[in-house]
Amino acid sequence: MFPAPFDYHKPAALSEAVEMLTALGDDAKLLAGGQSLIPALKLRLTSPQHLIDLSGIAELSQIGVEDNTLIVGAMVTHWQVESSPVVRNALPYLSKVAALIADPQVRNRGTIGGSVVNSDPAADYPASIVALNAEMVCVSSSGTRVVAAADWFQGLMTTAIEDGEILTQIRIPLLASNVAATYLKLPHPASRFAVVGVAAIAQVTPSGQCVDARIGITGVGANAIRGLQVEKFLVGHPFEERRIADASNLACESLNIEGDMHFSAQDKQELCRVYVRRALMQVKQTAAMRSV
Amino acid sequence: MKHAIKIRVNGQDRSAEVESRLLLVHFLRDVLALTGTHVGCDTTQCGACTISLDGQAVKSCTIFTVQANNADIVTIEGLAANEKLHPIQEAFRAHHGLQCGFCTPGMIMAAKQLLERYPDPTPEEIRHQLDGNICRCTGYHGIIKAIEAAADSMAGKPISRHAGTAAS
Amino acid sequence: MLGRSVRRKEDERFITGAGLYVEDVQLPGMLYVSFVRSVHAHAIVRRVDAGRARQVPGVVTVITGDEWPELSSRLPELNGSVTLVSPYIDSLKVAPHHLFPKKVCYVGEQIAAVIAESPYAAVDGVDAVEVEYEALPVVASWRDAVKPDAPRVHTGFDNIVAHLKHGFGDIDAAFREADVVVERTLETQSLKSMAIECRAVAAQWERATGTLNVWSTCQFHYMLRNTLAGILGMPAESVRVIARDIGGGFGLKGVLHAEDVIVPLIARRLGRPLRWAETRMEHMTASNHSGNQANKVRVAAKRDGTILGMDLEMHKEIGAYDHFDMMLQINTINHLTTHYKIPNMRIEGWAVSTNTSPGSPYRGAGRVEAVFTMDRMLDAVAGATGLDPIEVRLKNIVMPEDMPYRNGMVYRDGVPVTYENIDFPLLLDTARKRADYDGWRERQKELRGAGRSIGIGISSYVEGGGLGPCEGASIKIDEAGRVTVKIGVNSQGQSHETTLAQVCSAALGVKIDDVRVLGGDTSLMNVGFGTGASRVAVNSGNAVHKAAIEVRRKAVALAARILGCAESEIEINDGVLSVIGARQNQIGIAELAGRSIRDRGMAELGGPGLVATEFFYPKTVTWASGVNIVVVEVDRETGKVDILKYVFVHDCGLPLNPLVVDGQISGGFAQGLGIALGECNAYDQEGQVRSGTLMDYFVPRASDIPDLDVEHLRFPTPDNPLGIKSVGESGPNSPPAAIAAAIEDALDGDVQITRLPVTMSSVLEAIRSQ
Repeated sequence: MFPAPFDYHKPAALSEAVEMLTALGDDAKLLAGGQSLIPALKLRLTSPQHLIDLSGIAELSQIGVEDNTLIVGAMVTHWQVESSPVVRNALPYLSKVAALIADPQVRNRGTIGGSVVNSDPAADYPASIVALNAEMVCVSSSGTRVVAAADWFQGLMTTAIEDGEILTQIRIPLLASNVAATYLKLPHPASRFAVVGVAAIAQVTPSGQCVDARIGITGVGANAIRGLQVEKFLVGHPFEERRIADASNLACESLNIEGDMHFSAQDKQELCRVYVRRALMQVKQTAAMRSV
Repeated sequence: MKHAIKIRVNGQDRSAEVESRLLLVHFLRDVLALTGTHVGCDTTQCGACTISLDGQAVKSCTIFTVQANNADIVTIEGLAANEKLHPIQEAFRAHHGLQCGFCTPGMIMAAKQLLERYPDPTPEEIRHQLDGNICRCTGYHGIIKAIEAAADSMAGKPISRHAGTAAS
Repeated sequence: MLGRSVRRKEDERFITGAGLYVEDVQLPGMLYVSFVRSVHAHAIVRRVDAGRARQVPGVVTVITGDEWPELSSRLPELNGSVTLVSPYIDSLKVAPHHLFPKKVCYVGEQIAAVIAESPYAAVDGVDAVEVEYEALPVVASWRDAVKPDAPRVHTGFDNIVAHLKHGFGDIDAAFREADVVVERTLETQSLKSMAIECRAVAAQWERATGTLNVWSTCQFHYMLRNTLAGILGMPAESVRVIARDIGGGFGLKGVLHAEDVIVPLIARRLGRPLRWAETRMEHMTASNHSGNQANKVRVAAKRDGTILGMDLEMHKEIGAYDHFDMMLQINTINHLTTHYKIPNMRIEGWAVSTNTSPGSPYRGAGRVEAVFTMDRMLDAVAGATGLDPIEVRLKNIVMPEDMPYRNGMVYRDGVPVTYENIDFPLLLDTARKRADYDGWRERQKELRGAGRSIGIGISSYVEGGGLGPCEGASIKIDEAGRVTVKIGVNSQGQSHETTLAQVCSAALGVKIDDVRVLGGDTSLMNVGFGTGASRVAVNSGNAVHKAAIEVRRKAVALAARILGCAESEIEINDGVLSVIGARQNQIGIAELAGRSIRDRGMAELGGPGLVATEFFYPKTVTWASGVNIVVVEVDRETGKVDILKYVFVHDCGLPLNPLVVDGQISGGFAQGLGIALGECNAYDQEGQVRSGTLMDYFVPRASDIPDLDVEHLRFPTPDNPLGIKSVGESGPNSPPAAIAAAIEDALDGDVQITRLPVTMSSVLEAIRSQ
């Protein structure tokens, strides 16, 4: 309930933040929305000597559209994504995902950058980040680096971000008008994190042929994953119920799923299959409505 | 490490020197003696500490006081204006939306944001927007009724437009 | 005034953030306490090194228990201070509970107290205390604890700390004659009360008056007062315990924890005010829990569904220390038959110690387990005989013409359990109609055809409430006409300041706005017993009524003399006493109270002042009752349970305030839902708590609670002047049984749902086993 002592810093510019981070190294942690970091500090699970608050850096809170890409600053809050007219217009799917995260108070403070760097195995955004093929822009004293979603989530609470780097932007290619997307989440009864969360995106022709499919799954492993086998199974075939059911079986067979106090490994396996299937069926329905 | 901060609380400008690690909820309670905001958990779930920061409902246990430098804070103590209760406060009393009162300040501050964003909420919307507040006494029916009544009152509609969600 | 949904008087301060909870108490020079707690479930504390801790900035001192003799005290053995008699028990041997034990018996048990200038520094100090343990073998489940070679929780004490036996009729004959025998092992989980306010205590030794002031979240403040006074060798009046405002109790705060006593003792010695507030994690690990329970039960029945007898073996986990002898199991036994007749019974029970935190009651206190047992067995009989669950219930139900009905049990006041003036068939029928039970049975068949798994569950509960020995009330009217009512109980949200003001206002004829109810402070009344066991409305309500009647008698007598009429000619309306038919001949109660100070005629009326103190002694407990019917849909693919309809029919006698009653039902229902679908306090093999935060311990949110369809019936009790019963522990009793039954029904009755909670995971498991 009471964090250990630390020094607090609030840089006014990105360059200042990078300098600080480089200078303080392992003794420092970046403070974004604080909705994951501060609880960890309160329980003394982590006790950094320094906190570098990024909220003073205006450029990190911008939202914009450029070249058919939604550019979201790392410090943009979940509520901003949920309510921004720009996001609602360009990529409404993302607003709907943001609305399912945690609760209204947490959404007012929690940030997309914080979530993407923290990479909690049951967080909501990561499933969509992988399914949307987003890109993470990282800035350090050595320059700027862009990391694709496929390379970003690497393990338990581990991403491709390196020491001295600050995630500044997430760049998400917009979805074409004939692409349907949905995020289905089974909230954990106590924590409200995702027991399983499936981001399903598909492009279906008017004749019902699947020409593109992307699946992101969170909650069933150390980090969010792409259901590559599922996608391969679906693309180039009629997007219909039987195929979708078979695809969802593929989704969970090869995964290394662990159980916890509330759900056994077998439970999660079954739930994963069910939610992949339901997400795809929902996408099928949305795609069909669009074709009419 | 101590920091000098300036903060507006319930319309009053305050300044103080605080340790980096002092959580906003403790600043409000122990330094400003505004004990209406409560602590009920340590994992940012129960919502008893909810206040308004720059117009947004925020859990004051999950923000450091230094982060609230130059912020405009409203706590439960600042909700009533000149001895006149806010419609949400009136509604909570009228509809038995509280029993022990411990979660109530946070619940009311969350309800304030709820009605600002969704002035005509359905019961489902109300329930969803209360995801961040736990009550152990009321079973929530009285709270939902209170928020519905407050919505009506704030919209100038006659009260009791809704058939109750729990029997009376 | 009685039976009206008057707005609550206490709300004014709560809705404006002006309540005064223990953690709000701020005293000049106050220091803060944090405890060093055991990380082992069972260990000898070899060494406590506070050297580094004392150097931490802000730390004032560290107390390890060796400093003063009073720190070697023990907590009182029996915390159930309202228990008069413990029936059925034939063996009881409990270990003493020391404030600073040298052998710790559960994770979180206190080892040392750090005193510091801020709560932040106190925790810094705790982190710097070094403890050397000699770990001992752990026994974390009662099943392991009863094994002959199990490690002992306490040296020299058996893990089975108590045993009980009860029976009547000829159980063996019942089983010989049975057409059908059904057997189940029913398991209920351990729970945490999860009031939103954690426990806290503040204390100040007030040298100028020789008083030890204590602010506590304890539901039984007189017990805390007496314990502290006893340890310190002071008269009880020298210890003042203020237990108000409290943010929810639900039973866990109804027992003395070590910190409640330690903090005041240290405050007395240091001469500085102290405050300790539990963190949520401390609550989940170190605070008491309700304890797991397993009921192995066999029921003998005839083919037509008539129950011939029940044989029950109960094992109840009571944690590391037992402060309630076998209270929870006794409650289970006494509530066991609910609305039905069991002519032959054999019951045996064991209370088992484990290396977990001590056990205490959680709202319901054994009633939930009783209802779960009875309803599951009635459903089992229905399954075995092919009868509808309602038919089985009607076959065995206690009829109005059977009243007064004795079920063969003895309550905790030594009085045989007796039902009076309750119409059980009416409750069942009302629920059946309101829920459209028969319609849903039809719909169920149709929907099954469409592949939907709909289930219907029924549960019947009784709630014994209003346990004595007694409660008192002191009423005084002052010269401004203000009526002050002092009571010996305290509120954790039960609306006493309103309902008891209603009682006073009704009996005395004064405006409710002029009545102020004060409780939760041992300086108000010398004798009181506290809040728990759903006893306040009956005990304090009737005490207030009696005291108000007595004050009214004095006021009328004095007014009659002043107004020159007969006493029978006086009426009181809104605090004005006047002659019936000649209203202008009147006197206000304020003026009357003023006159009563010097008037010599008061010599025959007990002395100066319009004052009275009365105690109400209930003959025995009252019996509230109800029937719940629930319709659920189970998603077979995910195990998720959706409640389509929930009907709650209940009786609590004459309601003092219907809105308050609704709130109690609603809140109790939510807790029952939590018990049914997911709350669970669990330990691993090493006695470590697995559900240490709200990330793992499920507490219902608004989006988890379905609409509730409530119908109120009224079967007043003849046992007290107000005809009231209790309602505090009515809500949680039936939802677990009803929901479990409905889930089983939804799964075609192929599987047996015999344990709580019924989580998504257990539903999935049940489906897999089909």
